[in-house]
Amino acid sequence: MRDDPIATVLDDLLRLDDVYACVVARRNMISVMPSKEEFKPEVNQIWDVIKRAMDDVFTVIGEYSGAGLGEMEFRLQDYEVLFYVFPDTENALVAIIPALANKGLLEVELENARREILKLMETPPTESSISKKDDEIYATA
Amino acid sequence: MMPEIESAVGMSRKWDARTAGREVAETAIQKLSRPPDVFLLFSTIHYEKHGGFQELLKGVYDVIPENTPLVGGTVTGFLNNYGCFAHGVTSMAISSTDMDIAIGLGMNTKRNPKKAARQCATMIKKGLNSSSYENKFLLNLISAGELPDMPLFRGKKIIRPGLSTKAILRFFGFSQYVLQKGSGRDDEVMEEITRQLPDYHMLGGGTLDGRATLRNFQFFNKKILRNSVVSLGIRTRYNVDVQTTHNMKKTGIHFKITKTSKDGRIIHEINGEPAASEFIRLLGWPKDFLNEETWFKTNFYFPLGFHIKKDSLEFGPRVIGPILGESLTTTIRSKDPDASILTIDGRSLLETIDQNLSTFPNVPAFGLISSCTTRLETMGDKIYQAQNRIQKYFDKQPFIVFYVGGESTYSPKKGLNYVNMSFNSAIFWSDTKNS
Repeated sequence: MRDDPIATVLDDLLRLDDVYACVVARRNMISVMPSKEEFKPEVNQIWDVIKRAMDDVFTVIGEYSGAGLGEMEFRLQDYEVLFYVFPDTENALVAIIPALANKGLLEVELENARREILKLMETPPTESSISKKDDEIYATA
Repeated sequence: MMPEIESAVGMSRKWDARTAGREVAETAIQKLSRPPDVFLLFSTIHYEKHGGFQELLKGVYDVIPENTPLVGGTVTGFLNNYGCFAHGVTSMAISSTDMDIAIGLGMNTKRNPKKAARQCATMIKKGLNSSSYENKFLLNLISAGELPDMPLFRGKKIIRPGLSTKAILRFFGFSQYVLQKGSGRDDEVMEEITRQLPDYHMLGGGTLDGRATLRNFQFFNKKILRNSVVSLGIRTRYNVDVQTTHNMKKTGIHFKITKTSKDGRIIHEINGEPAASEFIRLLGWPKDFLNEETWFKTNFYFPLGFHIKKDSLEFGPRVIGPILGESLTTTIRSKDPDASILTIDGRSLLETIDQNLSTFPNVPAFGLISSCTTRLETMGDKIYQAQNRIQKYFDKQPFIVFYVGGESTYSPKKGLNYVNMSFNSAIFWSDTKNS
């Protein structure tokens, strides 16, 4: 994971104070995590329930991504989970932020991350950037 | 033949302050054929925790010549030829044989804004009085309001009524003058600067941090400052004009401001009633509708409207800051009891840009734009739609939109426009390019 350029994009996102967690995921599968493979401690206690809710949202994303579904979000307790869908795929950049965060500013950086990841997805991976694990795919359309 | 004016935008998204400083300078000056005559720098607050702003400036001066004048400050985000960003640093390097440049500095803006404005204006006059160029421009970056760093305020927009709010309101007076924590008083700075330099075209904005409104910084050469105004003065043969637009709509809701703080920035009563409750009643909102969770989706779409000038029928938007009990804080003084509630939607936020830039029929050489942070915060990722429109106007010419709090333009013809939630441009162009 360390050499994965998408993980580096996620690392940068996670440096923002109010991004508690971020991944590239699809239904039942987290495709890419930040390189340290850990989130901010705030989400640990709620991660399991958020993960289940995320999977349900991915059902909708899978259904409507081809129709132009670009973004989704839900609020769970004191957190918001934002989904930035990669066009025509079942994959999305997912970020967990506090409900009272300045969402507008975070959205700008999430959009930049989505654009950067899209570019990486469109670029053929070099040998060093290909993940060694079978379940760590990040360009599955 | 070499172009008479060269300007270039630089950018870095690196997290380490020193590295980012070097990169933001390198990416700008590599497009110039000669060293810059001045360097403008706009940074998000993040470098405070990632090496510090001193390191950021050291990084810049690792690359640009030691004696290059530099002004800048912290902003919530920026938009430039590269895209839209809420983290990073951007710069504009300008080099011209048809331009004279001076920079100015005034300190303690929150304690004595007039004195600070005069200090700054004196430096500009001294630096540019001997210039023979006719067209005059001034960029003013002023420290915007800061909340005292107390647990009560951290991350909060609304302090519910209670005993503590009375104490807070009393504390604010002490805090403003002794600690210089409180209102930016940037409107007072601007009023005095325009009195001192009435024949300049001006663009201004209040430096900010991200969300907390706890501290913001100004850059002046290698110095990191607080509670200051820093200015860039230009005299040039290039044409320059400025324009403010906001595109706010009238709701038709009018009211009287019946009780304020001495300086007019805190509104205690509207229509003889406690201000916050009356504001919510006038809008027909449920009593608990305006809260921390709904703040960005409600307050930012319904700013207060104050008369922009005495005897003018036009209302300028004033965003409501933190609500202290029943009192509404604003960044701009209310000088007239007649006020109204304005409104805007996403489409109108975008149209503001076209309305503004369409007033410049010329091909721009470069442009600087100060825009209200509320426009960035309400549009979020849709800000790319704004970038597309601005990019279309500038084409390949360099531009920076920096997001600030309390923004202004001034020209001898149009006077001072100091508002919130607005889009303010300063465009430079050459006659020869358009002929």
